[in-house]
Amino acid sequence: MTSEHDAGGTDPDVTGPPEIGRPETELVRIWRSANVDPALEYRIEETLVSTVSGREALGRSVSAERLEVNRLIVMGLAAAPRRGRLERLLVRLGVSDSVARLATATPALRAAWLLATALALLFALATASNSTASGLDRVIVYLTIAPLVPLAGVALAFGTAVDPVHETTVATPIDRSRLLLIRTMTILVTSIAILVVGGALMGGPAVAAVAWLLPALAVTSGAIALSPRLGPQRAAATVGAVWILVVLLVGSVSGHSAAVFAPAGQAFWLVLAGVAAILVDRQRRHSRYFEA
Amino acid sequence: MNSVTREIRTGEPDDATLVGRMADGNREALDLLYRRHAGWLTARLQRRCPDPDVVDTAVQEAFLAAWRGAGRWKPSGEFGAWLWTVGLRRLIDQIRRQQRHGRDVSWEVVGSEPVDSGELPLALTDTRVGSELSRLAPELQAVMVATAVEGLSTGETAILLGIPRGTVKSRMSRARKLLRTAISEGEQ
Repeated sequence: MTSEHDAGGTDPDVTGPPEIGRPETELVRIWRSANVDPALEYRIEETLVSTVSGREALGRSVSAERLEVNRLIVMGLAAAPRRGRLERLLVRLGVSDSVARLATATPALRAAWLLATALALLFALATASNSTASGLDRVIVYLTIAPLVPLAGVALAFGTAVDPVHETTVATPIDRSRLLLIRTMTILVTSIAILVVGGALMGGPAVAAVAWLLPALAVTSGAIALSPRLGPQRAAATVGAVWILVVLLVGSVSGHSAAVFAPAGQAFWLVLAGVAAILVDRQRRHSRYFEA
Repeated sequence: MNSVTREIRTGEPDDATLVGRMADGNREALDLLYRRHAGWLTARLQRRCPDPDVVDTAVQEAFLAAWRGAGRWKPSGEFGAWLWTVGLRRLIDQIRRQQRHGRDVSWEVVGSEPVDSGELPLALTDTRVGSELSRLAPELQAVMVATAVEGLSTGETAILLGIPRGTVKSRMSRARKLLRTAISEGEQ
């Protein structure tokens, strides 16, 4: 026995010839020398990796510090959720690593949300094709549901219970409100893409494909403005309920179910979205988590 | 059970068990597997690429691939062999990336004084590389080991060895011809 530090178990006690000058270590020395041809090099490697002692001898030719640094990196990366396709795309487009990670780790982008959106759109499609009404009234279900899609996304985008990168979020030197905006943008872009396609399938008037845009902006930014007070989920639920009530109420009073999407209504949603945006911006200035 | 699994001390879980735990999201299992396998993997990859950063990245990616793919791994094979295959592929990916930036990160295969395997301190195990391969020139051996033994494609071999694809192909056919002659002469 040559040294004591092996007491922890690096020496094999099961196989291998007796420890005369450590044959594995000697073999590694020969393997590392320049004058081993590739075939012999490979045979030596296969011989060494076939036993634990051989593997350990090979491993000892690498510095412990180097292995430790790599170990920390591997463990750190394993702790983080994996980078998805969308995230890779964003990084390739020049978005910084951390922003891409936080934007796409948005839980709302997950399959459940997309599935719910798809189901809602199918439902809207079914009602639209059975409807006898004309104009925007024909696609009223679609128009009412559409603003709820980004709203639900935003509600899910924040909160410890549903967030797989919550720890990353807290540990990232981006203030929370900016993060919320990054995620909201991701959600809005995704929603708009889905909803415009869905709207085109509805078969209503062309304006139907975009009539929900301003209401969507208004309810989403309204929910964000309320979330510091109510929490994101409750804020979204409240705003969503108010939205449905308003659509139903205005619809029944005016006799046109899609009245809130008329030009006057659109102007109102635009103003509301603007007010909410100003509120959000003000909150953002006052709530920088990481400012010195 | 192969010799490597048997040798692990009693009380320490074997590789297959650890991979199973990784599939359940157990990071300690990853840690143990890393401590068990990172050394030899790094050493072997370093033997194929002089740039330590490139090697380190490949090692990290191989372990992450093991971590993420643990659920799909079949315990019929040996984890070490699987890890080696993945590590080598990741190394080639990294070398390819470096080459795109105009950096050459391959060892040059140089002529060598043959080592008499009878003088080695350990008897070599029977491997897929027959001793007849040692009769070839080193650069032909390198191509044969990469293609016939490691199972790399012509393109991957070209990247790993830092030589053009055409050279890989011509060396392969030269090596095959020489081996065929050597075998037929041996039969006579």
